[in-house]
Amino acid sequence: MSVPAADDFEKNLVAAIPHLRAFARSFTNDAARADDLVQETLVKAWNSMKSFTPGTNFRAWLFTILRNAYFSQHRKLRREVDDPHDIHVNSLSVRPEQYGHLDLVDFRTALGGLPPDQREALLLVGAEGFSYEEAAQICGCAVGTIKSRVNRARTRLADVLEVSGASDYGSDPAPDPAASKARSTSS
Amino acid sequence: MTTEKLGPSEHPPKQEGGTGSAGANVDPALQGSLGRRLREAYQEVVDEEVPSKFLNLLNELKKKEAGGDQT
Repeated sequence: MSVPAADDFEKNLVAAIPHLRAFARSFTNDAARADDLVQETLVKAWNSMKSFTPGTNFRAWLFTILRNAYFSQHRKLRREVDDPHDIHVNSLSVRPEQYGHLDLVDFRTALGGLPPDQREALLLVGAEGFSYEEAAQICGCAVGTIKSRVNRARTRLADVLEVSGASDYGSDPAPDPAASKARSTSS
Repeated sequence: MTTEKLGPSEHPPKQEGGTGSAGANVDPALQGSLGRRLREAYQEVVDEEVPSKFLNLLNELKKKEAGGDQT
């Protein structure tokens, strides 16, 4: 049995915490609740260490646990809140004070306005760098579903932002494809 | 103003390879811009300092597993 040594496991777990927090924050704009979710995820991950298959994406495994934890909590919460989608306005969208750029504020607002399933797919693929296959596994749906959610999310963001500030988009600096590669494969 | 971000990394996450399906027709420049903004917004949260409670929790879990601390 090649169960990863507890030390390695712990090291990877620690490295994943910032990402788990960011992902959790996309479910709820309550930062404390998001952190609770991450803590629950850490405990669950620790307790099911042996069920992780070495060689597979560790972070994807963790994200799956977090997502499941969220949705099982959420089922309880639904009894207290009328429309769950209302409370999901993503907290990535409520930190505009750090930005002088109106366009980034707009972007965050637009992101927060996406349907949760589309936003999730977009974040997993576009921000976390998961493959469509990994994202599909995390969300428990078909690869095609993820692709179509990502496409719809992009189209929707483009629509919203094009209307509000089209002039900005021509002026982006030249691409630097190297920078974002490293993140997706750290497991 | 230094903003600690990913840098202007620009390649759209993964190419769909021309699935003609739902709305893959976002202008490439705009899509690149969206991708960058998305990563910036997300990275802001990733870059936040991790509160010590998380490491404390892991330490507790470790202790428990070592059999020392049964509660």
